[in-house]
Amino acid sequence: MTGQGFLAAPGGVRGLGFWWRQGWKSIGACLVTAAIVTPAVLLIFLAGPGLDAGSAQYIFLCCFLIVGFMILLIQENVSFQAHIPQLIRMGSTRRETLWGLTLFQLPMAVGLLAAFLALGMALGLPAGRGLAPGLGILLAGNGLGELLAVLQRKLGAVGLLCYVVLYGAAGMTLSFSLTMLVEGEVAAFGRRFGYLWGNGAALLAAGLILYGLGRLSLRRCLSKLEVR
Amino acid sequence: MAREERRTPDIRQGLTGRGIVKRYGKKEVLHGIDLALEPGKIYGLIGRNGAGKTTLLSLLSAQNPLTAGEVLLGGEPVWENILAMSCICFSRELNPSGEAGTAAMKVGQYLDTAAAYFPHWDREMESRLLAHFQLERREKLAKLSKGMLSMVTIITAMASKAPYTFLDEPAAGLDVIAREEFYRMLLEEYAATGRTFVISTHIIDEAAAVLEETIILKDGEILVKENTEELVSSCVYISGREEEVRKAAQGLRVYHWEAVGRSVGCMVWLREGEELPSDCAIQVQPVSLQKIFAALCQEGGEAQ
Repeated sequence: MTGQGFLAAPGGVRGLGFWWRQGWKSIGACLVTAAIVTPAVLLIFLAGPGLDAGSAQYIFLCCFLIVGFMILLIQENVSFQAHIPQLIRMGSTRRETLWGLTLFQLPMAVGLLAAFLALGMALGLPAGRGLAPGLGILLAGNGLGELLAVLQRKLGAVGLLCYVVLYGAAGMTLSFSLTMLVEGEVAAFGRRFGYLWGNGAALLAAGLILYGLGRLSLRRCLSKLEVR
Repeated sequence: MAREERRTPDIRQGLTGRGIVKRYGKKEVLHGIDLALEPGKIYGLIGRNGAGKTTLLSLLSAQNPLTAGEVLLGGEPVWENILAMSCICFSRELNPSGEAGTAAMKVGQYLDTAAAYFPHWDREMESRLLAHFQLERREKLAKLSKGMLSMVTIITAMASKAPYTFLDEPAAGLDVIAREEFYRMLLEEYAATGRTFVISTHIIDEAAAVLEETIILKDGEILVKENTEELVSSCVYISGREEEVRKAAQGLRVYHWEAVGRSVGCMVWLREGEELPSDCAIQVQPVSLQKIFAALCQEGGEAQ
């Protein structure tokens, strides 16, 4: 039975209630932290000279999403490091933990997407235009979270360092993308390079790729994960 | 995703491990173990620290992947098989200080989460045992003593009603009264349901009375798998003057020679039909399971 994979897993998933509850706890933590941190950051920016109301709104949106995105990554990592080994010790299959993690991501993803769309609309972005990039950002967040959690487990301290670097890079990329999105620059950038679907499609594609990579690495890691 | 069709395992066919190898990095912990656990028995799994007891149980319950070999329940592979894994409960020692997920949980949350994995979880038994051990559902696992954590693992194992239930050091941290209660409870449950239990323990003599079969693990291999009563009755400790003891032990399986004052002693494990010679001036004493284990597993404990 070497090379044991998920492919031979039978149907049925147990223990989803645990993950569902964790998901709602996480969205609570995510929104509360974002709501506390963003006004604080905003106040710092407002204290600076020459910031008009529009820019302040934009910064608020950026901060909220970056904080939310980062909490998404942290939650992802915490659940991987803490909950998955514990549930395997209780008798869960690896496949069940993978499905559980997906369910765990759902409330937070829906909550963040709703927040993104609402704030985007408040800034004058049409909802339809915000949907694809919002989804892209969430998928990227979840994918990166999974990828980095695996990295940390595999590489220990080096992985943790990578985690911090990539974490910062992800935050900056998000901020940069959002800037271009708000200012309509991604579409122009996309047109220059022959992209047909513009900014939303580009972000969505990036998100899908990252999510796919995250899932693949998580599956590989889970199939070999040792619980002590 | 292509999936194999899996059937409900026939638990009466037993749980079988074939050629189980486990390697952590370059270190091989288990070396090709073959083991068959029959339904309706209480097994004792004993071995020194690091012999591979917990590793073996974690592989039999599909909590960890095998390096090589296979584990089958009723002929069906156990790995990633919900139907098979629902029939096997390995209630492990809890260590909230080293496990963030466990530390954050309350007793009730832990039991509720575990209950999701066992279709025949007995809520009535869970409540009864919680009351018996005076544990509160709202107590945090991180704040429990070692003995109380053992009680939580015992409740998990008992209430799971899994046909194959493994307990890793269930008596660790329990006082003598709680240990006696645990063994009484175990026997009652065994008599009522005929479930198979595997108890890994270092408190051997206390457990010996309830163990139908004893499995001794040494250096990643199964050294002994015998009916406990037969094993104990076939082992004796002989002592006396060296030449008399050596004469008596000639051609027999002899373990752990030791000097006792001016005389010597050793343990003899008699094969079926073998007897000690009657013309030797030696003292013959029965040995406990713990002494047998010590004789077999101590340095220089190999048969001579």
